[in-house]
Amino acid sequence: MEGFLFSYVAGKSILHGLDPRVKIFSVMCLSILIFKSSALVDLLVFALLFVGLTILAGSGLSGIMSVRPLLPIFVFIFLIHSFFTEGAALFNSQFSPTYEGLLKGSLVTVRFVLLILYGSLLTSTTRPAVITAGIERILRPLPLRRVGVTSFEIATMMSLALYFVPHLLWYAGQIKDSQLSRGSKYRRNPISGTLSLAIPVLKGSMRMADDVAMAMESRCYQGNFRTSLFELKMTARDVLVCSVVLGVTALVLYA
Amino acid sequence: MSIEVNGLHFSYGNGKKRLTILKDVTFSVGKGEFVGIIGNVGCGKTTLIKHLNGLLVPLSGNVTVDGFASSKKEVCRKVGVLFQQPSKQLFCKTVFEDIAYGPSNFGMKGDELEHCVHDAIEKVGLSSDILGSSPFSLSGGEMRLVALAGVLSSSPDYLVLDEPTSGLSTFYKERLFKTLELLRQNGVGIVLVSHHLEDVLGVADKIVYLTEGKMVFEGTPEEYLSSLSLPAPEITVLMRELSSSGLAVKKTVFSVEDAFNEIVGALSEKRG
Amino acid sequence: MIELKGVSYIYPNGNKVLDDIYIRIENGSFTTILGDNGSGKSTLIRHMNGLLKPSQGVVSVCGMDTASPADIWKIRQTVGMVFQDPHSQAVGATVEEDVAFGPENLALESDEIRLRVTNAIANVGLECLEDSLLMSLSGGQLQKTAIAGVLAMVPEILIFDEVTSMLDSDSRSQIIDIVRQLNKRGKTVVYVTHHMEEALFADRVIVLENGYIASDGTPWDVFREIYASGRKVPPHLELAFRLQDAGMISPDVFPMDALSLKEEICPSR
Repeated sequence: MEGFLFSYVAGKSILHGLDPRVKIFSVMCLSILIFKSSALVDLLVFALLFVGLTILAGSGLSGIMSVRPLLPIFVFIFLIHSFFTEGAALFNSQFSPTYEGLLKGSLVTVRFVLLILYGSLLTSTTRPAVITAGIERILRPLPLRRVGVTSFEIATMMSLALYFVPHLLWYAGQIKDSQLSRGSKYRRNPISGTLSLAIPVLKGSMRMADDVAMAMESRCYQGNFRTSLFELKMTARDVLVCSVVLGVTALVLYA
Repeated sequence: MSIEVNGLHFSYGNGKKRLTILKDVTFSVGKGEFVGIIGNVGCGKTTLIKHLNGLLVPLSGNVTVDGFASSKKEVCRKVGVLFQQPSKQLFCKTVFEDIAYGPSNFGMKGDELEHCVHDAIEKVGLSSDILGSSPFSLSGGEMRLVALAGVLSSSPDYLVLDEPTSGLSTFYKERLFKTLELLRQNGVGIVLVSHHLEDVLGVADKIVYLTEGKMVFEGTPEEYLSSLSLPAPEITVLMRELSSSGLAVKKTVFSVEDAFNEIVGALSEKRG
Repeated sequence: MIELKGVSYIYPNGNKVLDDIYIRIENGSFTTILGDNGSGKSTLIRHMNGLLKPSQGVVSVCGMDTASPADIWKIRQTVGMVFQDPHSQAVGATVEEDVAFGPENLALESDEIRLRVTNAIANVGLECLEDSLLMSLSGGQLQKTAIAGVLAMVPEILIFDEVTSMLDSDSRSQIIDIVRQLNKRGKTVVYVTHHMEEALFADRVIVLENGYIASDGTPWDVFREIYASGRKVPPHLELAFRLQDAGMISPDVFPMDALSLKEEICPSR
């Protein structure tokens, strides 16, 4: 599973050592900037910045390669834009990409690729648990209690999903094997086939959730307050990075 | 008419990370034959089982069932598989629907289906009262027998069981083996995969021993027990020890009954 | 110490699963609760840390009543519970995160959590897998993680609910070794199983049948009783009992495994 999309790669780089809140904040700022830039040249700057940061993170090319499974989506976005943007047609036919479309398509696709890459840079340099702890700290001041949840519950939900989702996929595989070996291939209707897998998996997930809830309760989970193994502490370096990011963003947006 | 496994190889991954799961596995299961496959975790038994009913297609070597290549649709009907964890192979709302799942896929309907389900639940020795309840309200032992009924309802010619006794109490274990014996008498070929030696040695006609995907041994239970390099049941180990310390007992015994008779015989003779 | 007095439990649908149970679990003891699938053993132990409240009767843990909401978190800290399905009790992405879950709920400082996590993981021998994703672990490793997760709460009493029933034999014996070690180091253990072999190591065996206590005593007494009633006992015990009944070996021997019978049958001089 190495090089899997959005997976964590252990390391001791500066990026690894930054506070998750700073990293989350920076990725948000970068995303805003990427969306604001309307020229490919601007995006090139972000691409170079990404390469620089990747080298800094020491994670090598595995981060970039991990977006490979998303390639069809990138191609799809590019094609949609190139064909459905109005402008001068490229070929003399009813259905042809346009010049404007090609331009817009590449712009949108590159933006999208960059967003994904920065996202995976965040996840590859930050442990999932630390990301959740960071999100929890960011959410804590919000008046979430009014809507009936706490920041701790949201964070716990996220970390539960980290195990639960892949486990559910494994469970779905087991059910599928069982159905296949009991002749589900003989079914004529493919849609009922998909449903006959989805429904039991959904129900199975409910049962598992019951079990997990019991295990959590036994381990004193209450949801209203908890601490974390990964205590977050802002260092001078974190504050520095944060202010530089904020400064640059403000400069680009308002100057 | 038999399942023939010939020179089966299986591996996945590529480059340096390539993992070989099965290496040159060859054996056959005839109608009414009981084959026990023994091996510990990671010996490749789950992968092997998936090859027997076409869930996996051999990369090299071949698997045929009554002459059909295992990739053919017919094979999944001929070979029923009971997977290791019953809670992860039952998926319908009621026990009835679960048992009916197989045969209804093969086109059975109405009274015939009803009859078939009742027949299957009877075969495994459970009461038909539970047909209306959810499979997940049952105990672990009942769940496993329901899963078995769900396989038997399609009347397979061969039955493959993956660690069927794990998590079963003695009561359900005895019931399970009664069912298997009956099936064997009706000409069903049985493959029982287990690391529990006592379960397999008493009932199998043939033993296959797998370690790390390789077949290390193939032969009768008697031959298995005489081989000193293979893991032996604890009673057999005791008998070997007794024999080497001079007591005249048979070394290939593994059941309590036989061991008792052997020891009593030898001791009475020795003590006069 | 756990004390059940006249405990009955009736499911919402009217099924009576436990019937007037009296049990007292002494500190430092190793008690095995033996019962077939569906004998009510899981229901019984879920009363011992307040996951279930008795329909009738009282359950107290070190003097605290499990029915009182004020004490419930203290009770769950005192009584740790490990469940059957290794896959359905994982609550983190990696081993150390999962083990940290309990101490985090107790709102401990992160240094203290780290200390407890390291200790707990060392206790189950998973040091080299601290950072591994749970998804990549085997059932046995997951179950060890679950035990570590409970140990990190530093409970006095540990309850194991059929923890080996979904594992292979190697992992099974490793888990049993861990449980025995923990008992030797002073933890009170309640071990639930339907494998008779696993009851041999206990100080005391309680057999549960259809919601009532069928027998209660030392492994020797209980297994003798089961054997006398004509039911199966582990093979080496059956052999020992038969040889004892035939007067071939001393009637006081209670062998832990088949090989320990050798000296009895054929003493080396």
